[in-house]
Amino acid sequence: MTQDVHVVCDPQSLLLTEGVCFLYMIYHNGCMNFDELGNSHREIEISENRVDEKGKIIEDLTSFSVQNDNPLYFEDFGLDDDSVLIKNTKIKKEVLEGLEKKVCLDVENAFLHFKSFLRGPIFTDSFHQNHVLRREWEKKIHEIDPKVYEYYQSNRLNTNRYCVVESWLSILEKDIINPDIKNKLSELKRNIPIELKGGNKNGGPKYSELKDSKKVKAIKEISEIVKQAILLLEDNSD
Amino acid sequence: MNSSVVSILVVDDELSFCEVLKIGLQDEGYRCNISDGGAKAIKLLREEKFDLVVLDIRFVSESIDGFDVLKFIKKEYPKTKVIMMTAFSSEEGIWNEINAKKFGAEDFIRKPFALEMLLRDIKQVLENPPTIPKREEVSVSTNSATVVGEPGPIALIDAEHPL
Repeated sequence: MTQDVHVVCDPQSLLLTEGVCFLYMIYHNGCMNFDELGNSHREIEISENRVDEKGKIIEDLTSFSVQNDNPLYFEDFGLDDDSVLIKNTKIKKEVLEGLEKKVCLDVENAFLHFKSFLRGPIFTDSFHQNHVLRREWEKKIHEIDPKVYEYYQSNRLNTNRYCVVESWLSILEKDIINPDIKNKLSELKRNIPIELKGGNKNGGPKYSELKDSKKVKAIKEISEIVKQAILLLEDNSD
Repeated sequence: MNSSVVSILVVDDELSFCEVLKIGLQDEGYRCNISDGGAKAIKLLREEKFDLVVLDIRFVSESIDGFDVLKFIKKEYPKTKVIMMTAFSSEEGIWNEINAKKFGAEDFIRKPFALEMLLRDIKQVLENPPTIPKREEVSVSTNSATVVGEPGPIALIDAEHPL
């Protein structure tokens, strides 16, 4: 018996990810639906180092999805712990210049949160507006394994996840004294896609009503902004 | 109201969301505590006095939801003001908003929202809580899409009109 795992990625990168796909195929005792790959040009980053704790969690989640109507469509599994952008935890001296200790801690928190955001996956599902069904499905994952649920919840499409990014940018923009960094942070905040910005109460940007493809596009844009924010804050002099 | 003495509880099952709101609120001079679930929120409410609670509707790992916490607050601590929040889609969001108001929440905010917007809402609720007219004082005009009552007519938004 074969089962399909929904993984969409850039066909150009297929060779790089073949080994990992093979692991998934073995794990699920099924096969990939490679037909789906030909029609899409979406980036996916999977390194061979993924055979770690996160790799196990991803396997468990995809396995759970396959065994439960397979509603998840992965676009990206998130950055690995050993990727350069995640590994470096040093903040530039000029970012912290003149700041009180408490504010320095806030900057550090924001910095770590940005990294945590990029570690999260991007996936859509087949529930669309059926929130009741999605909630039942989520409860099942939570009951089975809270760690897998935690990864599931770190989906960058989750409103709480990207909402936090905008709030952190607001806090940094207000707290950081260095004018150059402050201005660059303001610019990054201004570039957040309109669909993800906190809207007005009578209508708002209606993120939840967007098509999945538009949500993914917006989330990839904000992910790029977060990468820029990390690069702006981090000290990579070593 | 002097914000330096105002105590706020933020309740959401996403801890990182609570934490960033806490920092934003503390920066504005509020005292803030957080809870990543409804049961813990009720425990904190019993232990500490809060002037306002920013409350999510759904907690995935618990059998109680935000409405249960809201009912508890309004029964046990009627002076505590509540702003409910949710990320649900428009239709579900409207019903949640109706229920939130029905159970006594002072305000309702939909995610995604900017920190500045929440701060504005909090300030407004604390300084100028909405006066909810009695049922007999309100009438809905479908022709002009307004709710008529004290303190004056309120225009319905497009999504509310069909309801």
